[in-house]
Amino acid sequence: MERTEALLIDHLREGDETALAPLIEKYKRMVHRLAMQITRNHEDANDVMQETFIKVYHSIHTFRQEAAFETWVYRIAVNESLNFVKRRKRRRESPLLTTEESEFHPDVRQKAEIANDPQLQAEQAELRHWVTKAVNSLSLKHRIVVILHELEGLTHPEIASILNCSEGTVRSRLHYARKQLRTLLKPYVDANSEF
Amino acid sequence: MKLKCNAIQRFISDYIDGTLSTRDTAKVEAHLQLCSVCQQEVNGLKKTRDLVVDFYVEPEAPDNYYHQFEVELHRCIENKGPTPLKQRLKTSVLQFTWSLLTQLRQSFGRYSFIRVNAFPLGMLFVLVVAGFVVTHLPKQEVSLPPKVYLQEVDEPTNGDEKSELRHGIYNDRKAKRAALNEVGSTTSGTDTKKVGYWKLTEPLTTETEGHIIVMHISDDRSVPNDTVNSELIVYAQPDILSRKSPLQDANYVALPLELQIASFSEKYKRKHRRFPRFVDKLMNVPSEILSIPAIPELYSASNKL
Repeated sequence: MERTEALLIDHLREGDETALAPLIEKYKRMVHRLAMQITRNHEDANDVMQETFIKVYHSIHTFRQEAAFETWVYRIAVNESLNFVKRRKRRRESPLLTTEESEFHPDVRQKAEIANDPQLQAEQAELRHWVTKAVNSLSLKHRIVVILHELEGLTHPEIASILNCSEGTVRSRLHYARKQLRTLLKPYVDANSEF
Repeated sequence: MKLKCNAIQRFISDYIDGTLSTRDTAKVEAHLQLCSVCQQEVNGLKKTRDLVVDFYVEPEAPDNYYHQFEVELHRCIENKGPTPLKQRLKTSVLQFTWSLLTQLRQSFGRYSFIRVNAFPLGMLFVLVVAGFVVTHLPKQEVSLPPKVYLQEVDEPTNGDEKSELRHGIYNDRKAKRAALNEVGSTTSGTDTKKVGYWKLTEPLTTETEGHIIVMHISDDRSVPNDTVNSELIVYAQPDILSRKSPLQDANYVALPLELQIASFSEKYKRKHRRFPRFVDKLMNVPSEILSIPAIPELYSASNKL
């Protein structure tokens, strides 16, 4: 843990509210990104962000120095996001940015069209579109593991601690998610062209 | 030792991430050199991971969004004011409990014997506590099974089969034959004598299952003279309630109380080998259940007669 961050946490513990601003500045993008990826809803992501930082502020006393502050914030953000998804399911509302698996059809024909496109930029834009859709079409538990591992770069033990499950579970979920992604992105995975 | 294809599956993800131990990495690589299918699998998954890492579009928000968010958040925190006393107390208690648990866990970790045998020791502790509780708790009085009395009815009704009782086995063969004849004549409708059919005053419940049921039959003329002592003990078989006609001969045995239980049991065991469990059960019947207050009076009354 960085020295400045440790100091800020100490100050926040002592009730110094101004110590919160630098912490928000540091983690706001990460929390927003995570909330958006899990909830896939702008409003919910905004609420998750707010709840996460309010919780950080009020529960800073429960934070143990032995764990990384970043992991702790991740855990709060993931739990808040999952709560919002659960609440939304209970209300039977659909997310704003729905990506149904059925919508996902990157067939070979489309891939061939992309390959024939002379503009690499356009190809990459298309690829970004399909990859993003493929990740978003994963089930929530698999998506979270992919996001935390592949995109946020967290280790298996860190993810296990955040999701409150075993490392083995994290490993198997990641492996399953990768296999599913490979199936979804088959035309691109099988292609020899370099993107 | 060489790994098989299905054994390699669980290592693939870690191999791709480079988090596998040196030994396992060597094993996987040795297998991949020989197996083109697994090689393809690894390449495919590696490429998938690279695609996700390189091309996944992470949601981003403009700077003014974050600025607005921070303003809102500060307003929200200020509106809530200082943390209420209740919450602060709760936090303190939680913090204290957590630190206590952490300390316990740390001290627990020092003793490897306890750590290794934590489960059996825990089970032993639970058993000891449970045993102490069971032996030291004040014993509640065991409630006796409910008595089910019989009431003579005029005619059997078809719809009420379950609550009717046909007389069963007696130790006197002649009497039994006579009783059965009477029963048969009643069912055929030629004889209107009120014999052979008895209605339970209370319906059988699960509480009466497998228990000794005492039934009064003092007014039953079909019962032979030598068993006139007015009470029969009926042992309800455990599955008695699940049958269509629960109280039929096959499902219960009627036992005149005047007989010596032990001698009867021996005799009964020889005669009715199909009910050995009943006899065993009967031999073990607690005396409280058999000593029904009404019996001595009825016994003496019958002797006077």
